[in-house]
Amino acid sequence: MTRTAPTTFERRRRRSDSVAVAMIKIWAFTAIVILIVIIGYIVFKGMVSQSLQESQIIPTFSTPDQSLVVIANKKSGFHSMPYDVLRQFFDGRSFSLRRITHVNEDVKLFYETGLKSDISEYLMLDEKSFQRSEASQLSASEVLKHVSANPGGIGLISKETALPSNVVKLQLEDVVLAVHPSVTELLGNIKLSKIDQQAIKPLFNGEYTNWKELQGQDLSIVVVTSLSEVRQIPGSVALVPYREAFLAQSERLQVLSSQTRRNFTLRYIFEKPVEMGKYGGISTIIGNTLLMVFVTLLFSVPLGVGSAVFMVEFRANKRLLSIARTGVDLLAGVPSIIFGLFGLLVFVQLAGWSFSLLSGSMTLALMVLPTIIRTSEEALLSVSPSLKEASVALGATKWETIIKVLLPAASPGIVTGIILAIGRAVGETAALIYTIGSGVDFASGPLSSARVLAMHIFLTITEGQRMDRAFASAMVLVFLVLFINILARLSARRLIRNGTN
Amino acid sequence: MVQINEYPEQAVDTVAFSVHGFNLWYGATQALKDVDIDIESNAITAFIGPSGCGKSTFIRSLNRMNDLIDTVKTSGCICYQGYDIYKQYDPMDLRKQVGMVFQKPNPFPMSIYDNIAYGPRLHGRPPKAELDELVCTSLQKAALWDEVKDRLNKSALSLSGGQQQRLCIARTLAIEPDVILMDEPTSALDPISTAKIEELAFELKKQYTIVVVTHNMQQASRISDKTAFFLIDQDRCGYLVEYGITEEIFLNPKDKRTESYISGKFG
Repeated sequence: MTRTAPTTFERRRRRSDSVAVAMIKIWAFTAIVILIVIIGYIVFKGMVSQSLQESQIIPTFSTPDQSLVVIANKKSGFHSMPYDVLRQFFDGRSFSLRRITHVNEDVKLFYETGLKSDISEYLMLDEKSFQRSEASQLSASEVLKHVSANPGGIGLISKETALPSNVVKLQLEDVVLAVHPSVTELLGNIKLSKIDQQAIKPLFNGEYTNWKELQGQDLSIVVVTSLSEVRQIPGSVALVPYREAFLAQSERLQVLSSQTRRNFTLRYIFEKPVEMGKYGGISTIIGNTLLMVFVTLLFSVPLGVGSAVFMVEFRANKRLLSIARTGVDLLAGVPSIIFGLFGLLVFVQLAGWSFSLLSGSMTLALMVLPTIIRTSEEALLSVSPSLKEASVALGATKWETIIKVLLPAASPGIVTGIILAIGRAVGETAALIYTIGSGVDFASGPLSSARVLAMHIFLTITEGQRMDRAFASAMVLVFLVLFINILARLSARRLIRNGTN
Repeated sequence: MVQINEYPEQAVDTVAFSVHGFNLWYGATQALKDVDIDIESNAITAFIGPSGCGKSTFIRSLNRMNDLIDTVKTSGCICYQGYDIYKQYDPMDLRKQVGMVFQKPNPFPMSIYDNIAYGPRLHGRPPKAELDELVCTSLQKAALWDEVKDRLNKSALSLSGGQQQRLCIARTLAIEPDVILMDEPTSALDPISTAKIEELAFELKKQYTIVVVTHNMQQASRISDKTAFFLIDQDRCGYLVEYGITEEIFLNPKDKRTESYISGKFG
């Protein structure tokens, strides 16, 4: 035999084959990349929250000669203290740290004896505010002791001393950008009211010469050092303490700063939610989610696997079988919101269970039933009939064969179905809106309202407007599903260990 | 129960199965026609014949495995120890006395121990020591004990094909039957495993009645005491052509069709 050159047809055939292989590889790769991007993005947003803040106080800037030293407990999560926040505390208008940091602690204020007049002058406060804030006047060492003992403790002392290990000194941010009124004037549809934090340093280094470059008026920039100069020279700008600018009622530019904070912390998992989840953690919500999944499976697994066994083992009645199978397929295609409405009518109203864990779980049980039935049926059908014969030939009844041979042999497939069902149940929102309620406490019984993770994400965005919290919850949800998956897979492996070895 | 004794001339204790005018239908199609055969106790009876001739269907009728197929109908009688198995026996009781080994090794996806213990556990709750003893003797009878005694808790699927088939035989022995039906037990095995199974069947004959379906003519002549030859007619319905002592069937067949099948002219 001699080798002959491939014909045109052969060449084309081989080329189309390699093109097909390349296409498949590209698709698979794209799918994997998309998955990684989605999960990576959720994890990133869950771990880190970036927020744009607009304030008069310039972050990280402070006046050099401060008579007050601000200290705080390390647990408070503070690294610096903006002037206005400190003022709010001493004004008695803010009692909790949770609005400023992720820590859910009440504020406790302590100040060194004799500092009262300094503080009231510096923070422009009166006696009434002091009473409202319940700040305690103590000796310097006592202040240290109390701050170190209270997670929400904030203390003011006159001079820096050696601090206990769990107490930190905070930088007091109290500088604003004072400008001549001509800078912020509205002229020709242009008005400059805020500048980016990043632009402040270049501004004072003389890198900008005209306000135009910062989207302002056509006015040259004059950098000065005192408030009196700012008042006189058009286009002038100066860094001055907040207090002075406030008292002089000078024009101030707002500063835009992007803040990057750790979003997800371990506290977030282990703390209870506060103010319907706006603050605090999600411990009870995770608990509710697990409870809901458990109750859902409690109803859907026996029913689903039982139906599947029935459909596989009792195939004699072809008509009934085809009706049942069509029904299951139809049920699988029904949108989950329809299940939600059904749950609302039947479980919430007719059965009188109101918005509760039981109503929600039953709705979900119905929703995941088709998944469980179909996967279990497939798994049972894939069990070799020879195993059934072997069992029957040993004198087993139909029931014994099902329980002892058929179900164990099909268990990997059945478990896969249950994992899919859990995935659907954990992530379901639409079916739960009208059925499970939104109470953030851990469900005390089957008839108590129970907020679950997916609902929590939905509600924190629609009600609380906390995007960062939603992403942290989303991340927890992703990992919860992953965790349940791994757990189910491990248990499936244990089930079939004898089978494959 | 009423004892049927249609053949008083034959002593009941030497005949395990007495089949008379047995017909079987799959739905409307007849698969077996007028089978008359007496299967002897403590002997090996081989069923031979071309594919589709109904020998497997017939052996599966002997322990009512055909009941699993809903469309199967039967007529005539198969008497086991004098009782009609289709009328006077509960299928579970029958199968406990008439065990079966299948064409392909079909161990359960469990440990070796659990495979053997499956049958005994169905028919009562034997104490652990008794069960251990039973597993041991069953495996010994099936000539598998030495190979698996150190790994009784390993999966049965980790065994080789031949070992799996012997495990299936041991599993059948564990329910302490009187009859063992073997439906082409060596067709999926290599020659060495086949030889072991044959040797085993020969050994088991002393205690059990063995019925074996085989495609392998040499096997039938090697191990069986009696041979039944089945054939298929124009309507694709199986019937029994000749039944007798193996040597006579192979060396001196009465029927021409048997002779031509054995000499390899068709089938």
